[in-house]
Amino acid sequence: MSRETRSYMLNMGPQHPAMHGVIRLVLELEGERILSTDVEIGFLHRAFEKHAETETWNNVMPWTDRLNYVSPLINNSGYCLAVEKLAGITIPERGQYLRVITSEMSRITDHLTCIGASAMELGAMTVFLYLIKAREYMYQLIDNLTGARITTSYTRIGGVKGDMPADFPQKMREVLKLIREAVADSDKLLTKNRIFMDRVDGTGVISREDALAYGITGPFLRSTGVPYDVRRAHPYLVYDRLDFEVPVGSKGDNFDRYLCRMAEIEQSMRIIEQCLKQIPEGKHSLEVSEMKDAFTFQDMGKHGDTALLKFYKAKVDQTLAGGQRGDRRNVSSTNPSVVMPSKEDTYGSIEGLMNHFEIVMWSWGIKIPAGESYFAVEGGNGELGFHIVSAGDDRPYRVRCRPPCLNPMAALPKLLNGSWIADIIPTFGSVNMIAGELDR
Amino acid sequence: MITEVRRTEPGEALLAELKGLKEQGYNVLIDLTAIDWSAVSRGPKGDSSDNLKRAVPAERLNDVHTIASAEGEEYGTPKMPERLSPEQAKFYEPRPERFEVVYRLAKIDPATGVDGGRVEVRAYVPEGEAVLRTAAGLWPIADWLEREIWDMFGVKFADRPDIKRLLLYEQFEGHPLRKDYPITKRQPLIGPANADLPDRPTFNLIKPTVKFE
Repeated sequence: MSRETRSYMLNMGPQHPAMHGVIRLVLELEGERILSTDVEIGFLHRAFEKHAETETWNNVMPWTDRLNYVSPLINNSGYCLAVEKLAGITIPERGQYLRVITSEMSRITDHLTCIGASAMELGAMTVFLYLIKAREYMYQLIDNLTGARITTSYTRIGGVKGDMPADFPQKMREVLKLIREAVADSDKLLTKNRIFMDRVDGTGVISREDALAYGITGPFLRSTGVPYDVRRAHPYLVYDRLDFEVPVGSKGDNFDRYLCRMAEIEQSMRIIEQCLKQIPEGKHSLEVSEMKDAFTFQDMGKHGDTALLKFYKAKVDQTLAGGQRGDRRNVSSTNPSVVMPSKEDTYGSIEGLMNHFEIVMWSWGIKIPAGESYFAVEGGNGELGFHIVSAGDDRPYRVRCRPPCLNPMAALPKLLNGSWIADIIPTFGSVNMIAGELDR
Repeated sequence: MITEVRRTEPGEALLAELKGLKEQGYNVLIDLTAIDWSAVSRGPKGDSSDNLKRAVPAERLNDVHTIASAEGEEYGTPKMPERLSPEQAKFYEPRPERFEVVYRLAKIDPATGVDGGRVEVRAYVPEGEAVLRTAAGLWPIADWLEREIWDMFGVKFADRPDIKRLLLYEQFEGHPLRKDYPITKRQPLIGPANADLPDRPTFNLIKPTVKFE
């Protein structure tokens, strides 16, 4: 009696609950064994690079939120740093610390989402709820700081949008405590859990050489034992002043990637705590005694009290973006040809008004000198690079984003071929594919 | 991050350069991308016509969407300052070819994680000729990155005649990151080839009113 084996094709995706977005795997299966994998990407292509060529330098910022939408603040910083490198702008120290704090907040949300979602796909619904709740605390804090949970657009060329609220450090400490509790709970639920271990331990293995050949960076590379971290290899902002460890794995399997991410959450929280201790003084908004209504300005002018006018700022509607921002010299460059004036200046002085219009007017705006620059930051998934080309105009000539999750996605056939169909779920979860960044 | 820039001829020379660098320890291909230089038209002398003509086919010169900067100048874009620094002036010099590819390599030590230096290998690639060779034999990630370059710029690889697009679909017309691809261009609707329309819907039918008599 002879037995015939026959392979068959299976489409996984583009719409599949475990595909974290829109992506298609064309699998060739023999029973439940995967013979070959074909990865099709591009379902979320939004022409980020083409759009960036049509927008002014600062208007690209909202598009960068949508790259890795789980850690938008890292993208904001990365793009700004690349442009500032080309323009030769250094931002004030408090602004640099704020960028580091926000980057690490985003890294925490990124890792929490990755671990929570992949645990849920393996059946651990409780862990998902714990971690997403913890992420929500962080999102609320990001909302307090930037005005939005996810589409933050927090940085500007030459600085950040505004200083942090006065109660931000206190709230941050409370949130970090809650996140530590959630991570500890999840650790107890997952790390020695037999069901979880059976699915992740020894699956999705990639060797160190293969990972480097595929250009993989971030937690994925570190899980194979290579301690490469852009924050350590090429320190930017104030990372060289901060004490943090680069956790590494040894086997390069799904379990090591999970452990790396768990350890990195703790390191990011340590970085935030150090930043809050080291950050120079600054203030979020003006005191009431420093502001006057516009009609009061008029009255003072009519009465001839002009000598006092310069000591006050105009009170503007609190809903205006950039209003009530106080002394922005601490967080943003003072170069008026780069930075939009605060709304108090725009509405309170003729210089501010002129400055405002020179920046927003068509083809005036910020002019970045002609040239090219490449700047890399450590994103949630690895090295997030921006290659910027300027032709001296008010808009980029070319913006190239190096998406860190493209490389593990290209290596996916290598991870999956020869394993079981059930291994797709933990492996794909640990790749942490973010379609917005992958397809741009 | 200090990057050393090396410039070579595309084709065999470029591949040999990459091979040599890999033997020197540049083990990671961080990125591979291309730049379309056809719209760098405003030089310090303000002579834009030659560059425009070189970049854009003559029959498309009147297309309003062709080159963004042509439109900008009409509305009085401030000209570039007369005096430019030597690097900037070099930027506006005419490029020998339309496209430039940039291979970005890193030398990452697997034991310590230290990046031993970055190098950019650059080469100008003429339009419409398949002169580049694939680097997928050196770094497997080059496979996808080359597909993206073909997809976005239409730069061909001599030893990959049936290269597939990476991000866009096969029926897509044109290569969107070329500077002469208008941002407002619409693509035709696609569907399965030789598809027959279903003769009648089998669901969502409006039920005939039932009359009670």
